[in-house]
Amino acid sequence: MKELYTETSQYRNWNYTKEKLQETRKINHKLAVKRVKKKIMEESILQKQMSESSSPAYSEQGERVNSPRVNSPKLNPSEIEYLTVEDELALCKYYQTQIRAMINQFSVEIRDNKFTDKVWATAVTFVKRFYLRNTVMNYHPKEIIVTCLFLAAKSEHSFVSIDEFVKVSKVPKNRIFELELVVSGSLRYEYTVHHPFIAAFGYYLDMQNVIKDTNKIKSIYEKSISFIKASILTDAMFIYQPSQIALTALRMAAKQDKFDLSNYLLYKFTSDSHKKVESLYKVLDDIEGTIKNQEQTTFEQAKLIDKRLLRCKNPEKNPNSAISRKRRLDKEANVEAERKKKKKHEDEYQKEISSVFN
Amino acid sequence: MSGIITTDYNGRGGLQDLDESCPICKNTRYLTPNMKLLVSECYHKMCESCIDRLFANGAGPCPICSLTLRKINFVVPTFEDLSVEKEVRIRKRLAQQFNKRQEDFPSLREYNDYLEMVEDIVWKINNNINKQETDELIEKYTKENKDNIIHNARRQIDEEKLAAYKQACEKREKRAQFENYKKSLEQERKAKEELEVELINELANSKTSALKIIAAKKANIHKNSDSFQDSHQENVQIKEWFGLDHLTQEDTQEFDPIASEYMDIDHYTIKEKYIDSYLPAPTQLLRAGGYNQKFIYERSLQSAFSGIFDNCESADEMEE
Repeated sequence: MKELYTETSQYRNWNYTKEKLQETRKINHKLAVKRVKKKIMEESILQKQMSESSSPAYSEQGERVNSPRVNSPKLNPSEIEYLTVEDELALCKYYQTQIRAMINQFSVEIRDNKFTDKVWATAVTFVKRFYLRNTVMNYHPKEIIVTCLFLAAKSEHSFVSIDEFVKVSKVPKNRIFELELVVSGSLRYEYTVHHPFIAAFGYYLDMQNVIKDTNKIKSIYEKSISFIKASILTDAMFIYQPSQIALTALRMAAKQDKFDLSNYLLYKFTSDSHKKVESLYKVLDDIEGTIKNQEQTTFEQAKLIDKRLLRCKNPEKNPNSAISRKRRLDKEANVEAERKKKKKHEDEYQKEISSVFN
Repeated sequence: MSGIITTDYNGRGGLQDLDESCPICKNTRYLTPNMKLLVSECYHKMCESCIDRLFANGAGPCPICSLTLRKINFVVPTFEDLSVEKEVRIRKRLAQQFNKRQEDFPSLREYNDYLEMVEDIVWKINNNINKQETDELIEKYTKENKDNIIHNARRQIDEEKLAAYKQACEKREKRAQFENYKKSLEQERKAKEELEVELINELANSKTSALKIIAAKKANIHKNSDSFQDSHQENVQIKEWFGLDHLTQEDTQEFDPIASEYMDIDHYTIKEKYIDSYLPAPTQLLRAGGYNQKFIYERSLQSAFSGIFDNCESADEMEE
């Protein structure tokens, strides 16, 4: 028989081993760089054509574009230094921490009632899951975090109006709506995220059966929340189960409180085989290591990466780039051709009719 | 459309079209109400008298498509629409060869591919596309999957037997129950009569007050009727030999709609009360909506211990 948690979308589609997670990221990154490279080449060729052939109005327009090739004509597209996997991760990490800052910019009422820890955690997880399948070169995280927070609020049943988001983030409404679909697609429309918060509460209840000092339990539980929050920012959610993360957080909190939880654990898992419990401790140690050793990205680092990102953004996604413009023009031309064809048919028909009556 | 309810000689009743006519002799049902339209192998309708006339001397060509036909191969159509009739028959024929089940495939995907292949074949036969190629395909498939086809056919027969067996058992059980019930009713009635006779006798002979005697008797009656209901006869199980010994236990097991298909989450026992200042107290207002802290406690405890050994178990099993 299966266990119930193996049926959750989180377990089926978002659970990896450490190695698999790294490999997935590497492969995705490689593909992304390849695609972006191709597009940037196309873009530079197109731009050259345009500046050669077209009127000065075009080049004027080109100046305005903030796409990198125009701003730095000396730089050969083949010489662009693309972001590495680590760069991307660091940048994502920086923006993940920015979600809290963004929440703090909302009015106090909304912040306290709507943006609970769970909503925040879901938003962070969405960002993480999104960039597992996408690259920052395609979608810049500063827009994605707004979209993810908006989606998270909705999926955790504490809806906040889009206007509030526009006010705080300055991202246009339509852009959020547009990205909402992109993000949802990358999440495979799986919005349910299982966080360790409930599990931690479960342990808080269960410990009352074993440990008599209720004040101690309470203090441990409340302290463990901050460790859980720290774990949300790491990759732990991709690798371990929420219950395991919660137990680790409690153990860390107990350590901080100078309280020994091992008796409780021993009592809990007496019926399980020694080996099983041993490997559980190993898992808990692993998680503890991940939480403790997580590296923060400083503002300066993020700024540097951001600067480099500006050069290797995918021109396909930039509405001002030559590729997008060409695409738009092609589309318009198509529409125009279609219209002309229709008109021609109509004219011929009219002519035929009139010839009959003459 | 005008129609009358008729019953043909096979006992099939149906709404039949009065304007229906035989395409060969143009005879309509209005003129000959007894006309029976049969269908040939090539799915052309003909009335019985035409068939008698055309194929009196054995095999002959179909007057519409000139396929060689025999009298014996004409059948009464089940469906009025012949295209439906044709497809149903093709499917019936193919089902004898293409009888694979989902268990025969490693994944749902492959099973679906197989089903699609069968649908393709049905479509092709139905529309006479690539006839030779399709026939070869079927032959090839039949040759390759000979054992599987025989095995599955046998299984199907077994399953049908089992279903029949179950139905027979159920029927007998029901009848036995009904008989028991009838018997108990009869007994009760008899006992009541006896008691009444007794009561009258006692009233006639005894010197105690009539009311007291009646009260005592009433209590007795209650006791007796209870004991009747208790003496429910054991279920008579009829086990008949149907050659079902090779069926697995799972096949014969009754389906339990309430049983969970997932493993229980253990390591915890839920208490009625916990010390906690986090959940809202169950006020009257909240309780009206069905709120009960116990559900939240249980949910939390379950999520605390579900998957706790997730990455550990596999290592454990390998050791064993």
